[in-house]
Amino acid sequence: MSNNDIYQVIARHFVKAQSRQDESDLQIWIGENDENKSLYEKMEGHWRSGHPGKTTIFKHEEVKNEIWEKVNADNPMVQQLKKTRQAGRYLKYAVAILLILCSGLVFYFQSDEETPATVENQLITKSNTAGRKSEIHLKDGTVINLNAESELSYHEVFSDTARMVWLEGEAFFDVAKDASRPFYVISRDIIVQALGTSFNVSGYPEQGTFRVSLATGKVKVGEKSGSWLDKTAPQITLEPGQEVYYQSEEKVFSTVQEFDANQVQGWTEGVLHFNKASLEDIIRKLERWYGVDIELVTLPERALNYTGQFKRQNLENVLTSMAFVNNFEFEINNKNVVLNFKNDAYE
Amino acid sequence: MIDVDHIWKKVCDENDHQAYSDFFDHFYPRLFNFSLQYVKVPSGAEEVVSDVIYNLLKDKNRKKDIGRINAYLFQSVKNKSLNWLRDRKRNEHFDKIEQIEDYIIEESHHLDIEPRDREVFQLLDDCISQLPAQRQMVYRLLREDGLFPGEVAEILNLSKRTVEKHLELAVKELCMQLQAYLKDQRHHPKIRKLFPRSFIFSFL
Repeated sequence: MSNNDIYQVIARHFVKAQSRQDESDLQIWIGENDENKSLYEKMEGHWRSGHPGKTTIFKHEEVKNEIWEKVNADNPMVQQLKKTRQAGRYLKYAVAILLILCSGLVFYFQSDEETPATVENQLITKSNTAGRKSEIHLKDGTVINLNAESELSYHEVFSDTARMVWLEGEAFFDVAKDASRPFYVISRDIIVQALGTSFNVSGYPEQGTFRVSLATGKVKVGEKSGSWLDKTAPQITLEPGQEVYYQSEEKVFSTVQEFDANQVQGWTEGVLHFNKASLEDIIRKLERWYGVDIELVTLPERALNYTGQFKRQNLENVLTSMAFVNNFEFEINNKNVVLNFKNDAYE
Repeated sequence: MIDVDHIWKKVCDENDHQAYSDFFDHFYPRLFNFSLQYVKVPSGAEEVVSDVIYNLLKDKNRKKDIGRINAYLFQSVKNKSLNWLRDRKRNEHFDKIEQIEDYIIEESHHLDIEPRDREVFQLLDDCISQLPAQRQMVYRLLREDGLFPGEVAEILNLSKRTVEKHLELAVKELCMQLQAYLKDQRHHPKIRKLFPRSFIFSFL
């Protein structure tokens, strides 16, 4: 990126009109070296402070008191004002003109603010509703399995220095090798950097947890902060078979641990997997997997802690199997499912 | 940056002196300095701005729903400033009598920021005040007054594109000055203390 372009990008950031391309351009530029980083931080700090440096103050307190008194005074005082200020004679007209202008202005701004910054490189967004999964092939050869209720955005053409995609929800990435252009997955609070690898990123908003699990190759995981491509920022490197969690609220990463490939990757092959799942986990997972609404008529007496897995099974089979272990009855009505836990009334 | 629309709502709803005071303290210096760019005479800017604020407050029941109070005020001050200039011949006696110099105070902010950054902020403030007039106005309206580029375009009768270009060039200028300063600080931290910054910049 030429130097002139970066000024444009910074300018758009300042007035909050940046595109996603601008966002990634800026982050790359900041990550290039400490000089850039420090320069941007200082420029931005100054912009955000919003303070006029030196201002000319003229009769500040006098005018302040004068206006307050006039506004709160009786009519005679207002008339007094009109005498002393010639402009006062045109008050009515001025107000009328200003009102007209103002209504025009307000209208203009309302329509103006909505206009997004122009982006030549089109942003593509693919999303799945509950019950649907999809496979996305990117031009660079990367294959992405996108889980249900998930969304993936990326630019039609990647830049020369980085491949960036934005993820909401869960996806499994099989990234094509390209050492000159790292592949970045931005999932709200975290960012995963990969060269040629396959890994799973799961971060459904309601979970508040982001989970990155590596199958092959190598990835780096970091927190998405102000300048997340900052090379000095702490990053966690994963080895194949390892995974790490990130808790949004506490803003901390868990320790790196081994994971069960079936549990993490299974979904791409139609394996529905439960590992010590609570009732809440089970309901969410089933709703997402099959695209249904689950209603509880009664709650179970004890907390559920269910482990099991199903390969390419329909909902009825899954529920039949679960119902036996967990002591509930169910009813499937098209997209609505009702669960009724059988609790012993006398114990 | 304070939420001016919120303060304005408070002024309207509560007629509270503290709310008014906050509102005035925020806007008066900004509008005054903005008006001064047009009318050039402090007493003229004061007249324009106090008229605008007074009219707004007097009619606040009808104006409380103005969505973007800062855009409204800057537009009003601009219009009034131009009217003032137009009528100036008639009012010429007005400013000659006053000893206006007595009233002018240069006020510097940034007292609440880290000392480490204070010098950098000061440098950037200085750079801003040396930008060409139009560019400076654009930059200030966007940064200090929180207006949108579309609003600034409307107020200054420019295209939105021109406003964006001004901002970009201002950012470029500030970045380059700051870059030179930071580089200088890294390589010659001692020399920098001996010479004032402006002295060094005169060589760049």
